Amino acid sequence: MAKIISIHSFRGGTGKSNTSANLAVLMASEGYRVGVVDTDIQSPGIHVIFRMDNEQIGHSLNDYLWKKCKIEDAAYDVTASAIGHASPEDRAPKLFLIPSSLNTGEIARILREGYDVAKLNDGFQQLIAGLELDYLLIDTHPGVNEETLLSIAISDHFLLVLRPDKQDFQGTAVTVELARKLGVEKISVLLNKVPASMDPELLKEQVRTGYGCEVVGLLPLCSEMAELASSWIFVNRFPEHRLTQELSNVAQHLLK
Amino acid sequence: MNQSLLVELLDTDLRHTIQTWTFDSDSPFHIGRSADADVVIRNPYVSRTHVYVSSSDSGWNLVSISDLGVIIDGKTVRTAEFKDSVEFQLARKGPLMRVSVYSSVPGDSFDAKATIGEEAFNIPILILDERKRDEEVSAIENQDFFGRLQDIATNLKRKNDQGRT
Repeated sequence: MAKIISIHSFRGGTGKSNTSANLAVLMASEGYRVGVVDTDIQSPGIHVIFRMDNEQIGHSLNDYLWKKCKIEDAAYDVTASAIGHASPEDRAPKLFLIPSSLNTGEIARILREGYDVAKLNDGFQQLIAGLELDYLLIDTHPGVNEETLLSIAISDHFLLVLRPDKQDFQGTAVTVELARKLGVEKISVLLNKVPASMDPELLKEQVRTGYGCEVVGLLPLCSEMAELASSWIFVNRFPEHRLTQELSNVAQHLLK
Repeated sequence: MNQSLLVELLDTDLRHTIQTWTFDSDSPFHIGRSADADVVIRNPYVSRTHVYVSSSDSGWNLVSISDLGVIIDGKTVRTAEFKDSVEFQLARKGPLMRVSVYSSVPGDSFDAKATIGEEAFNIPILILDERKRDEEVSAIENQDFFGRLQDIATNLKRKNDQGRT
């Protein structure tokens, strides 16, 4: 049965979209059909990491939410560019990206009118069935608005990405509690941009104490990731890097 | 009183400390991209040996060995003197750094973290204010939309489970 994994941050700048993109690539590479939906409609970004520009995006998630197209029409097969060893004829690995519109008018409309959360949920189900997905990753909008909370609520696994930072930690604690109240059973934490000077075991222990959930990964702050600046997929560019190794461990955890 | 230097690598946007190093007053050090630099900064804009810091009679000297120089208060310079603290960027597009002077009690071996405390370094520690969290959770939970959301979520999950089996 397909699994829905929502990836969320309390604040922006945690590296959530980058992490989502890299995890999606790693998970698909293990021989699965994976979809990534950019529900960060207010500030879409994950398409950049897959090097899709405005011209390449025909239909987007916005069009589906406004009933202009089927959600499958907004799904782009990025397997060839994102996963080198895949053959187009194979059933798997397959990686699909469902981007949000970059059109400011479309973004403004979402901000003004909101959208039907039940329709979004139906869209997820249609993607899973139509594209025969094993995993659907949802890149969520930071903060806790109604639409985001619902994406979290219908997930099988909720992955929180945060920096080892007091403000991130305090704010994320609220999201953890709300997710529990919405019945999310599996909640994990991924610490990103961890400076080398910090003690990993202490950080893990503090998350465990504060949130009552496990740290599934601790990604080092590294200049290579910063230099890449969302322009390509890190794990493909630096396959031997320790950050890639740690991300692989997280991907394995999500595949369990 | 002994003096020691604290070197910090700062986040360019948020200006919080990313990494720290400490040095005794009598040990000059250099910052660079090279693996054998005393302070290794792996950044393409940083030269292999970029900056040399040493004490002088009147305070401290910072010398850019790199032709790229350092940027202090918006100006590219090759040398700078400082007494308490100096903030500079390694080359125009390079990382932001700070070097500050700290005094320590004679006889004490200088352990920057123990002496000044982690707070002073602005190194984040993950300690939770549970009361604040609970207040914020209640504030959201008590709004009408949240109860409605719980119902919607329950219904959708039931529907999804039926659809997927």
